[in-house]
Amino acid sequence: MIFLFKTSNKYFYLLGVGGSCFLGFVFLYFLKKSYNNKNNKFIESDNNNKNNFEKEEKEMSQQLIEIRKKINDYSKLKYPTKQGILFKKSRYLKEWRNRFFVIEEDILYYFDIEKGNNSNKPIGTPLGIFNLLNCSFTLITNEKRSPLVFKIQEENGTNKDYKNCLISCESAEEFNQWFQLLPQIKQTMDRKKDLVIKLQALSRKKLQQKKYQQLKESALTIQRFYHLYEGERKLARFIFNVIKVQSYARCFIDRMRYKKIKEEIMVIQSHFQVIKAKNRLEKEFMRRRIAQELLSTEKSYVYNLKLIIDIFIRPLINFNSIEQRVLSVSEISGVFGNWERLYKINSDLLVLIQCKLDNWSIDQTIGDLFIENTDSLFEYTPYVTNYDHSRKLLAKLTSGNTNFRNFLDAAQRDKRSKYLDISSFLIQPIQRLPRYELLLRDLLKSTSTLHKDHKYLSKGIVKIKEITMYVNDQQKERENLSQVIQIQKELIMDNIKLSFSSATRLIREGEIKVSKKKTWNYMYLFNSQLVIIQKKDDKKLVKEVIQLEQLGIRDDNSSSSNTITNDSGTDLLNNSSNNLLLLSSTISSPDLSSSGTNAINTSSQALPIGTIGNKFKLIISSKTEISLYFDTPEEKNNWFADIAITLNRLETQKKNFEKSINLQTIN
Amino acid sequence: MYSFLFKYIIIGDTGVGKSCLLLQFTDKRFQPVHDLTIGVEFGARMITIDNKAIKLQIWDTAGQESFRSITRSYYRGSAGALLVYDITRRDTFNHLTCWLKDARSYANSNMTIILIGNKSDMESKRAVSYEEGRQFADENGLIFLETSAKTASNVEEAFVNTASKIYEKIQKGDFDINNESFGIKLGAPTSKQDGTDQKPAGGGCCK
Repeated sequence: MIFLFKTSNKYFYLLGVGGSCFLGFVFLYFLKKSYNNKNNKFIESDNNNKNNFEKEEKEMSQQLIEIRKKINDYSKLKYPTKQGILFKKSRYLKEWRNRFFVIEEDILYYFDIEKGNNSNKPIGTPLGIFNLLNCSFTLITNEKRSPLVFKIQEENGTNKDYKNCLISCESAEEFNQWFQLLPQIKQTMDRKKDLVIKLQALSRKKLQQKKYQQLKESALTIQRFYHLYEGERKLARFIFNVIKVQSYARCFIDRMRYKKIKEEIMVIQSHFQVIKAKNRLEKEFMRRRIAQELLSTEKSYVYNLKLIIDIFIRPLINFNSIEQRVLSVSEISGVFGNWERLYKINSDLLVLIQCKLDNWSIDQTIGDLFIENTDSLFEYTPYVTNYDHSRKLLAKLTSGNTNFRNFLDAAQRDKRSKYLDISSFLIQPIQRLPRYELLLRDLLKSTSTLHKDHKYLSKGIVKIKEITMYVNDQQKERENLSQVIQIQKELIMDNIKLSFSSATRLIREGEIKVSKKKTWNYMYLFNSQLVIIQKKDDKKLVKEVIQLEQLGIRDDNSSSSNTITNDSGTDLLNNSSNNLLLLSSTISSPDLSSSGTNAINTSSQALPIGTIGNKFKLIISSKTEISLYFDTPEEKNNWFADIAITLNRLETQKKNFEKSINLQTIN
Repeated sequence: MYSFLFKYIIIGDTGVGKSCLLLQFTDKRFQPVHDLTIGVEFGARMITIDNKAIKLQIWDTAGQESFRSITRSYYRGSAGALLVYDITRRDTFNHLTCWLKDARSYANSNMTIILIGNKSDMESKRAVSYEEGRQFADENGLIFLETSAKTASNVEEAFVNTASKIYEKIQKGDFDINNESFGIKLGAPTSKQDGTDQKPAGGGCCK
C-alpha cells in the first residue's frame, strides 16, 4: 500500500503540472471554437434567445448520450484537462472503489480500472458522465471514512439519486486540487458563455450598423432611382395619354368617315336597286304591252279579213241564178285573189298568239311562235303580186258595171265596215306583212338579252324579214316584167332585129341627142342592150340597137381620159377617182332600176372633180363611135354611171359563166 | 255624208314620225310614253273647205320603208302624199330624192305632194335648216311646212293645205272625178247624213 501510494504521488504531481499548463491552451482553443460556433449559430438563428437556450439544453443532453456511445474507450479522449484515480462510493453496495476520472472540456468521465495488473489504466466505456455546467459541488463532512469527501450532483435532473456521486481522495492536496478545479471549470465556462454572449451582441450590433448603412445607401439609391423613375414614368404616362387620345380621336374620325361613306354607299345602292327594279318593271311592262299590241292588231286584222268574206265575197258567190250574178268567178278571184286563204292563215296565227298571251308571264316566249309557224306567210306572194291587177279590175268593174257599183254602195253602208270602201280593205294585207317585223323589233328592244325570248325574237325577225323580202322581190319582178312588156308593145321595128327575154330588165330611160344639130331622141337602157328610138307622130321607131357585150364608153370632158371597155378587161375599180366618186355615190343611192317617163331627176349628189359637160361617147367598135348629148350634166352623169355599172355587171356574169364552163370541162 | 273623199299616203324614212302625224291629226293626241308605232292602219277625218264636207282617208306606210315594191302599191289610188323627213336627222332629208322619184313614177301626175319637216319642237338638235327644206320644196314644186306631232304645230295645216290644193285642181277640171284611181271619190248626194265619224282604235305613235 505505501509503494502504491508513493507511485501515486509522482503520478499525481506530473498530472497537476501538465494540467495547469494545458488548461490555458485548452481554454483558448475552446473559446475560439465556441466563438466560431456561436457566431455561426447567431447568424443562422433567430433573435429569440430563450428558445435558443432551451434548444441548447436538449441538444446537450442528447449530445451526452451520443458522446457516451461514441467514446467507448479512454484513448478517444485526446485533450484531457485533468485526470487521476479517485475513490467513488457505490450507489447500492455503499463501498468505496477506485475509478479513473478524466475531465475534458466541460465533461467529467470516469472509467473502470484494469484489476489484474498494476498498470492503472482505464478500460471499457465510461461508467458515468457528468456535464459540469449543470452540476453543483458540495463538501461533505459527516462521512465516516474521511473528512476529504465532496458530492457532485446534477441540478436539473429529474431523478436526483441517479445523477449524483460521492468522491474521496487519498491526500488533502489532491482533494483540494479536484475540489477547486471543478468549480473553476464551471465558472470558466460560465464566464466564457457570458463573453460569447457579449461578443454575439457586439457582433449583432456591428452587423446591424452595417446593415443599416447598406440599407441607408440602398434607400438613397432607391430614392434617387425613384425620382428618376417617377419623372420618366410621368413622361411615359403623358406620352401614353397623348397617344391614347390620338388613337381615340383617329378611331372616332375613321368611324365617322366610314359611317358617312357607308351611308353614301347605302344611298347609292338603294338608288341602284330602285332604278334597277324600276327599269326591269318598265321593260317588262313595255314588253307585255307590245305583245298585247301584236294580239290586238292581229285580232283586228283577222276581223277585217272575215268581214270582207261575209260582206263581199260570199254574197257575190252565193247569188242563186245566173241572171242575178253580179261578177263572174274569174272576176271575183281577180279582185280578191286568195283572200280566203289569207284568212285561214291568219286565223291560225291568231289562235297561237292568243294562247301565248292567255298564259303570259315574265318567262313567256313569243319569238319561237314566229320561227315555227310563219312559213305559210309566203302565200301572201300571189295576193301582193295580183294587187295591181286587182285595183285596175276593180276600177274597171266599178265604172262599167252598174249592178256591182250598187252592190258596193250597199255593202259600204253596212255599219260593220265602218264606212270604209273596199279598196281600204284590199290594201290591208299589203300593210300587215311588213308590220310583223316592226312589232317584233320593238318587242326585241324591250326584251333583256338574258331572256330566253331574246334569241327566239332575233331569229323570228330574220325569218319574217326573209318572207317579206321574198314577197317584195316577187313584186319587183312582176313590175319589171310589166314594164318591159309595155315598152315592147309600144316599139315599132322595121328591119332591125330586137329581142326580149324573161330576164330583160329596164334600168333607165330618157331623152338624148346623137348630135348637136339633130332633134331629141329617146333611149332605153336594158340589162343587156341599149335601144335608141325616134318619136314621130306618137310612134316610137327603133333606130338603133346596141349590144352591151361589145360596148365601151368614154368621157372626153374629164380632166383625165377615162375609158371603160369590156374587151380590155379593165376593172372599174382600177379607174380614176372621178369615176370612183361617181360610182360610189351612185351605188349608195337605193333603187337604181326605177325610172319613168318625164321623170325629173334632181340629184343632190356632189359632182366628181373634173367631170363637166353634157356628153360622152359610145365606142361600138374600133371604127364606129357615137356621141350622146344630154340635157344637163347631172343627166349625163347618171346615164354614164348606169351604163358603167351595167357593163361591170355583164363582165362579172361573163367571168362566172366562163368559170362554170371550165369546171364542167374538168368534170 | 260628204262631198268628196280624198285619199292620202304618208311616206318617208323610218322613224320620222309618220304614224305620230296621223295619230295627232285624227285623234289629236300624242303618246310618247309607250313609244309604240303600230296599230294605226287607217286614219279618217272630216274637214270643211269652201263649205264642202270633205273626208280625208289617210294610209300609213310604217314598217314598209325597206320594202319599196310593196310600198308602191299605196301610190296608185292616192290623191295626195305627205313626204316627211326628220329635221334632226340629215339622212332622212337626203333620202327625199328617192321617195320623190317613187312618188312621181308610180302615182298619177296630178298627185299633190307636200314636204313636211317633222319634230320642229327639237330645235336644239336641228340638223336641217328651214331654208334648206324650203329650197328643196321650191325646186320640186312642193308645198312646204315644218310640223311637230308632239306639240301639234302645223299638223292641221299640213293636211288641210293639201286638201285645198286638191280641191283647187278639181275645180280646174284636172281630175276625172269619176275615175276612182285618182284617189278622189264623189259622195252620194242622197245618202243619209251621219253625224258620227268612225275613228279607228289607235294604239300609240312612234318614238
